Amino acid sequence: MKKIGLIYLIPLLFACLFLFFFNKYLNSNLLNNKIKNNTDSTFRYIENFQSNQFYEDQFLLNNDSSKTIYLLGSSELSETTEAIPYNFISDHFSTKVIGLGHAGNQCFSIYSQLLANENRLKDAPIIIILSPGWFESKSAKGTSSAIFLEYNSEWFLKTINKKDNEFTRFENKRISQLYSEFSSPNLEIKLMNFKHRSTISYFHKILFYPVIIIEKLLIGLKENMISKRITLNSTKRTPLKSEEVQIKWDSLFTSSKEEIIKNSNNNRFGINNEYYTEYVHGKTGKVEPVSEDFNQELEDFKMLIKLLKKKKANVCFVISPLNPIYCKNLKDLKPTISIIETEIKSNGYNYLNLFETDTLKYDKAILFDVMHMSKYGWYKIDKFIIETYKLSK
Amino acid sequence: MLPFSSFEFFILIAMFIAALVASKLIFSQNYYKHILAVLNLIFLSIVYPKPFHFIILILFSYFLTYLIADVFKIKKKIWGILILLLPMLLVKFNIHFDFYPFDLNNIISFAGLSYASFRIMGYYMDKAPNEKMADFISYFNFLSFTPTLLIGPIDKYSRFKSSQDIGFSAINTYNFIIGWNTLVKGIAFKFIIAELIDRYWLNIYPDTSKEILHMFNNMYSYYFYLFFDFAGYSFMALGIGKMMGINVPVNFTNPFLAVNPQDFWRRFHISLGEWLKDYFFTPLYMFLTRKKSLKKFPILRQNIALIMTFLLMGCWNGFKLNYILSGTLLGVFSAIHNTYLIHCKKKGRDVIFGNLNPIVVKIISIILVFNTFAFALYIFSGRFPFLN
Repeated sequence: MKKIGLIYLIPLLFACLFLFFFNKYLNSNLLNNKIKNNTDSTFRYIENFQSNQFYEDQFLLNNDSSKTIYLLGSSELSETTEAIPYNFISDHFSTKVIGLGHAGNQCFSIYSQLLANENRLKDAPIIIILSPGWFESKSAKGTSSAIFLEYNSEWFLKTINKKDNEFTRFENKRISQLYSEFSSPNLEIKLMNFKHRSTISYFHKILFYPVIIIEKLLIGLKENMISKRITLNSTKRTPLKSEEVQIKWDSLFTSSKEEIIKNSNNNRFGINNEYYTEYVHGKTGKVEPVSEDFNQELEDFKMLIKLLKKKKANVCFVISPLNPIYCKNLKDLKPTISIIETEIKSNGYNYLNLFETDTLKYDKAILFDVMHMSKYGWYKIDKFIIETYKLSK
Repeated sequence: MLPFSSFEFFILIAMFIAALVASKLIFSQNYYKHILAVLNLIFLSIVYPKPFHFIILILFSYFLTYLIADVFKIKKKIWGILILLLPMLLVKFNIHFDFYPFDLNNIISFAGLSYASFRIMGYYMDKAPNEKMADFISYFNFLSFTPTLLIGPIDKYSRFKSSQDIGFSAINTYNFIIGWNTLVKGIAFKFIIAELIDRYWLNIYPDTSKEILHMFNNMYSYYFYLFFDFAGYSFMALGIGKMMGINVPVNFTNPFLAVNPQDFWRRFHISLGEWLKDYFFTPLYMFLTRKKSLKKFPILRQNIALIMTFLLMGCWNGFKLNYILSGTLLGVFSAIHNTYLIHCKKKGRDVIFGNLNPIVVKIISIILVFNTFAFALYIFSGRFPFLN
């Protein structure tokens, strides 16, 4: 008994005393939300949320297309040019376009961000740039766990976990599929996984029931410990006179096209000279289509459309191109793109399809490399956005 | 949920231990294996990811062992080994088929496959030609025992069976306290020390840095991390096993104090070292001994067998340059030490240290072994910048 007292009870006593005296210090250092001090309130592009409360709180705050439009996508948004919508439209119109995403921000990541903010979705103006690369090869497995976490903080997931409907159930299922990839999943991710697994059978339900109860208890405890989230208001911008804006599209298209062609004359693909020399020269492009049965990304996309439809978001899509001269078998990806197109059309959404497999019809100036937009390509998208949301007369 | 991956696992294990303690009060010893099988099955089928994979592997290995050993009585064990290791080999070779867009690994691989394959092979190798097949429930428990499911230690069937036979009587206060202490040690190793090393030491300098001090830092930090992480798992498995009435073999005993490669493998991942010795080194050495051309070269025979054994260990981790090279290096260390031992024996004295004070020799040996193994494991880690 004396030994047990020495080994267990005295350390337990010390641990309790430590927790009693340092409780507040530990909580404030370990659990509180941190806001990045250098957050720019005039931001136009968000690379990721990375638990940045400011960006998270601002996301979809104005569901009015005369104020802010959200442009969601992946790697193409990282290349800042004057023509990219979050620069071009924000510079010329009172409406601000905010770009969100970098490489890997695919359908499930976007779905989850939007689901967490579903109460802000009604009429929210959103443009989603769909990259054909998401639906082929390894990317067709869907968003990776690491990328998912960059865009979906515990705070977002908490909001999802509070509801139970077909969308949250899909979220739980996908989280469960990704679960083994998370190295130290947070409580909300764990709860989602256990919730999904408890639906598999009665045995699962019985075994996971106590775990779910404990998980909810811990989430509650944690919620009480952390300081309340600070409410941040949207920054007001001085509106420009949009009705007076006149864009000379023809001259913009001509000049940007000429510039692209001038800088891509060392190859027959229409790829920028420097990019071609460094990355493409001597290589053959090939796409690896993935059938609908195995294409997780396609399933995620369908759920994304369903969510947007249900929540009545003011959404439109851009299907970005791939270079058909470089990717020899691009035609093989056509059936997948057709499914995407049909899905968008059948739900009555406006879209711009830049995907072209015919090498003769393909506009060589539209891409900078093999998959990312050139200035000319972005102007085409700018025009589409401006017309869709009627930003100018 | 994988074993030891989160605190929820420990909640489930607490429920399992409670179920076993309650069962002890109701059932006789004969039913221990049945209760354990039910608990293992619950974990495998409900909690473990890809449950069918593991269950199919158990059925596959049991019936194939029966067919190979009892029905067809194939004498050359190598065929049986290749067939039984087929699932693991398919994963290691990373095969791609046209009908499936991703690597085959996505379908067939699952956590714990390597360790299960080692146990399967161990059982097959140990089984005498006329020995009766193990009863299926014990075999199932042997392969699916929850604490050792993921990361070992690599147990032997006979040892597991004898422990299982007295399972209920091993569930007592004394064993519970020993198990608890071991579990706490494992938790401290894995979730405190390894975690601290991972967060604050392991990644101070980039893997790509070729500066000598950075490389030394990366080498030592990885060695310590690997030990505390791996030993943490092993101690947790040992502790939980003890509380559930099964004696799991000890896998780590102060490897940093090893004085030679032989001693190192008696302290570091002991179960793997023993497995390799019993099922690969010894048969290979016997095979080489029978070769006429090698009869005159006993040291060469031993050294070939040693290097091949460690090369296999490297390949088991994957067919990548860092694994193969580190395996070869570990084999070379053992071969050098083996040659040194034989020379000392022949000359009747220590051919390197001579009459130096044994304590000084021990200290030098510890430093030497520590650094050479840290280097081999640095290569193993894939962080050695000259290989990337």
